[in-house]
Amino acid sequence: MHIIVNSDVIHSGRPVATGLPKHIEQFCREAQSVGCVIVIPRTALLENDRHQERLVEEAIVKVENATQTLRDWGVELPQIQAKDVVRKKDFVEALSEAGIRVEVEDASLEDFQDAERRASLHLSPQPPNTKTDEMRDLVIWKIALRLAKKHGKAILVSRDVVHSHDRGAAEANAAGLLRADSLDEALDLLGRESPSAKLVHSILETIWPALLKAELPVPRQVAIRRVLKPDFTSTASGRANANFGFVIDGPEGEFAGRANVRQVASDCVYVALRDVTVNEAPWKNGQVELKFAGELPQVAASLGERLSDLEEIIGRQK
Amino acid sequence: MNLRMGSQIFRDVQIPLLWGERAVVQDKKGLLSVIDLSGERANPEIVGDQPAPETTFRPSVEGFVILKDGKELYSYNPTEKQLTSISLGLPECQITSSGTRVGSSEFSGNIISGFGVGIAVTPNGFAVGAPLPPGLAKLAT
Repeated sequence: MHIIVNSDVIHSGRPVATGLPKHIEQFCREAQSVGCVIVIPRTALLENDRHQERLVEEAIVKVENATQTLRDWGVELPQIQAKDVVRKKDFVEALSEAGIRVEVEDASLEDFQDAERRASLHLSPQPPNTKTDEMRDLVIWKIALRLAKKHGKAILVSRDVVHSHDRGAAEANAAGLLRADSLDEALDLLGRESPSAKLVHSILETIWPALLKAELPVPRQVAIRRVLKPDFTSTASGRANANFGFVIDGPEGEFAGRANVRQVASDCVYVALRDVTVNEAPWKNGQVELKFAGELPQVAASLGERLSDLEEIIGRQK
Repeated sequence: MNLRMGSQIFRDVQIPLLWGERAVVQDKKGLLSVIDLSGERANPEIVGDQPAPETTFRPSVEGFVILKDGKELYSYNPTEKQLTSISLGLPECQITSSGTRVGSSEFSGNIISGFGVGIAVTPNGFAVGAPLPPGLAKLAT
């Protein structure tokens, strides 16, 4: 699978010579494990290179200032050339060192011409009522569509609304272009578990015996095909509550709905399923409620421990 | 409040770092807390580098994302001590031992004394030593 990345998901807050951000490195390893290739449009690479140059310049100034400060305080130092200390590193090389194959894709003349046409005529995928039509974003869109058609399927990872708006959905679907607005969502599309999906899976392992006992149409072993729009809260003791859509391949067919799972007492778990369907038809009255003894996964330390340090700081204002 | 945070020394300030309408404080262990002051009462969203109870969040590869009414507000990376706006329209903010970064600007080794807000970050920029904006909830509860 080819994964096209926009600059907004690969930007780092520090020069890449100091190391890739951990989340990008982790994403590269996960994607590489399923044979993916990362594609950086030349447009995105130029933008990222400019960003990196600025970070390097800032780092050089910091080293020079630090050196001067030490000398001002009488510390003897050898001659230090900040430009030699602050190394530049090629971003593509840094990504490749994470173990994944990386390609840089240049826009074709046709890509540029089509982007120009879309920008001038305010065409899809730019959302309506936007004030400006960014050529850069449209060039990346064209590259992503072209690669998806060429390879049968591709993923575009971009936070930009131009790339994620519904207006581009039909064209993306027709080209086989999947869209993700984060590296996490890209992992979900790859079938690799994102941190959210992993937490849902952990919660399911806790509640699954209760689902089987209630004779819900789920397989004997924990298995979920899709997790939809999960969100979580934690209790004061740090247990995870969760809200998520689910699609499960059960013995009677596709079992789907929306789940709310809460730790309602220290040893009691409550599960509410809504809009429950089997093969898209309502299952019973579409609602299930269960309560059973158990503990949901721990996602945070107990609040008491964390709060005392915070109160020590802000409590002084009283 | 008197506090050392991101290599800045804040003396006699009410809020050391105001990120939009959110107070950011760092405890002696280096853990960040973020408190939403936009409502009538201060509402902790992050306490000690982790989501506060009843705050909606979603774990991510970078750390976690804070949501409100289904909308992603910002992400927090506990390893990098970095706050990244998703829908708040604010510049990125990072607290390290060597400095405090707001967007592309870095503050290091300053003493900020006697202001309502030590560093105030808005969608349009930032100010060092600013009055407390009106309408915010009290930080101490």
